[in-house]
Amino acid sequence: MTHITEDERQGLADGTLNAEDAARAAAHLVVCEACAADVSQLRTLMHRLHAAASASATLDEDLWPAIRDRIESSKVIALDASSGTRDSRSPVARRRPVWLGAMAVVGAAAAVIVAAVVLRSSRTPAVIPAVSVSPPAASTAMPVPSGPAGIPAVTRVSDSARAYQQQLQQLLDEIEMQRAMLGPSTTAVGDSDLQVIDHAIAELKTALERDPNNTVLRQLLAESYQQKLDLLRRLRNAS
Amino acid sequence: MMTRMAANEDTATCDAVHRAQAGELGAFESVYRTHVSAVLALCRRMTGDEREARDLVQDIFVRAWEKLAQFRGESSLATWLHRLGVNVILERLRATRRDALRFTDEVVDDVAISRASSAADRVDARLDLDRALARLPAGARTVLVLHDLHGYSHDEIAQMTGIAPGTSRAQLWRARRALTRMLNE
Amino acid sequence: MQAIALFAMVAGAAGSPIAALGAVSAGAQASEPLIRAHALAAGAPVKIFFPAGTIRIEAWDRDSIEVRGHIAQHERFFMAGDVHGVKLGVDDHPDGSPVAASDVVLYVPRSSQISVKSVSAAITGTSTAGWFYSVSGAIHLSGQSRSVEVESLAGDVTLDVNAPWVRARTGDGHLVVRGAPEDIDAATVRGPLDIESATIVHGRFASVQGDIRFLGAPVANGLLEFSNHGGTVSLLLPRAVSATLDLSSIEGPIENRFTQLRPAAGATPGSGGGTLHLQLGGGGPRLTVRTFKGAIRLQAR
Repeated sequence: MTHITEDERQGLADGTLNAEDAARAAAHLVVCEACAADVSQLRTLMHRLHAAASASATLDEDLWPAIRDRIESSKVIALDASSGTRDSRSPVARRRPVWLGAMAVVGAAAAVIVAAVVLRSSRTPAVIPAVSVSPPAASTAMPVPSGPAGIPAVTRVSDSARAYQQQLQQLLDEIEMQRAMLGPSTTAVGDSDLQVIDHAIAELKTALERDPNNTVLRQLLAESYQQKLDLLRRLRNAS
Repeated sequence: MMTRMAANEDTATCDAVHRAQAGELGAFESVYRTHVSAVLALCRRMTGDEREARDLVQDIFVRAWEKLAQFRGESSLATWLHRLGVNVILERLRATRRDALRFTDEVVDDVAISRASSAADRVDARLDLDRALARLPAGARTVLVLHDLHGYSHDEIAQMTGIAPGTSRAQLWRARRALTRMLNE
Repeated sequence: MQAIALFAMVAGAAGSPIAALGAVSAGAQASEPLIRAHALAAGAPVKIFFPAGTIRIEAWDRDSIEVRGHIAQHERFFMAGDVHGVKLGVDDHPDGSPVAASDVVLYVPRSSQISVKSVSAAITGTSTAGWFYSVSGAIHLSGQSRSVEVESLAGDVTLDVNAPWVRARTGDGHLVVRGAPEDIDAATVRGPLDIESATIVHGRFASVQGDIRFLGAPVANGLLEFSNHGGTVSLLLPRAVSATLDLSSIEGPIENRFTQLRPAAGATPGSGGGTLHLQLGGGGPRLTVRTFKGAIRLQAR
């Protein structure tokens, strides 16, 4: 006797066989106990799977605090607070690079302004406060106290966009005063690069309006702010 | 622009989603509380591991928060969350495989399925379904959970996992056979 | 340019200040200059302003500073200070007119903290540490160094340094990182950025429009971040590499020519972009790439 194929057994069990093939296979089951038993087992399994599909699970632990902490920490982006002034101390002692998205203080002598990007929404001005970590004294490295999930405790709160704007305005004022001393080629290069960065910032802000919770967008925007501050410091140093 | 919700979505859910999309974390918490059971069930079945399932629940809701602006109400929130959850789980399964180069049209590991079913001989004869699912190899379990528990087609599974539809079908059949053996012994 | 020999200064009593000397008048014979200063204190600063031409700074193991070279006619060289620090260079013109090119070689104690500022001069440093700035001149640093900070508006920056800490910026210039830096922060605005090092433990690489290429090999505990707005980020990794990669683009394509995994679709249907997370080999070093609309390319080399 020729038995039905695996394709037909599985199709009979989950009801995906077309009508003609199903009828032929069903007719075989009438005369073949082995195939009938096999298909019956598969059908039993399908019933159990369908019953299980709608069942939900219970959780003995509330995962919300951990989820909330991750969402909150993802809103905070580090900006490099270096003043860019030249001094004779070793850069190792002066400053370490600040890694975007990293909450830990890097290096004992690093001064870090941890800022969040202010989200402007036409519906609700969702202002996420920035946190500012005071730099430790040069000779004694004070560890920053940690809160839940290792996030540094807030020591002072300030508006992040305002912090960026303040740094920016200070540099622009200095550069305006020194602009006459910059050569025309220098100002041309500087202006051109500033336009490129400003255009990038505008594109990112527009994208964030549409997708305000997008962490990657916020990190890219913070990076663009940093690029602009870096460029303005280089322009200031040109004079 | 406020998202237009699906017709069968209740008012409280609509309100919570809109407020969460505007950045209200408190509103998103109510979304979490409403849907965490279903998401956890999905994670448990796809991974077969409790600790990994709980990690994935967190990952899924964090991702849902980040992507909430893209929810346009064309499906129910539960369906949207489910799809997002499946993507997150599959990313994790791909990322933790030792050699990502092999996650393509691989041949179903019959040896792994045989071992899984014979291991059941050493425990109580009747395994419940979840424990039996956990014993399947990851690839076979993924296909079976997506197809038989959540209704994805082989074409959809192929697109999500990078395997061919024919391989998905073969994996499914062998997974069903292994489950049948485990549950009937 | 009529080369005018640089002056030589005879070392005086220890601690006495170095006199500021003017240029030798035109018509003097060019000679091999030699300057010996008083012993410079360990880590003493050397501040240099050198607008145009070439300046080469070499570290040596002596406790003195020596300058040799040729100063362009009518330009004024200055040098002042004492054992605790030296300032030297070529004066600007009060009317802002361009300074003619001069060529100088400077030997400094290895522990000196250098600060160099130039407009168009090409700066070359060997085993020197400090801050190197040029508006448009090229900067090339090599050798062993404690730390290096390099900035330019439009000049090329080439780093062949072995240093625990490096920071490099240029706007339009080509930034190349070779050698063996450990902790590096490098960025351009529009210029290309190429990284060919295999020793980086912490790396942060960014551009706005320039293309970034990583041809190195990540170290076991490495953390490398790449960020680009519109330029591409290309990771050319060894075929047998172990690493965990997180690739995200808002609107740009992600091209994986390393494995057969395809990226997950982007946020907004039809707008491109996507994410790809994958583990190669046993994982270990972590590479994160974010772009707005620049392409991300992953391939084996």
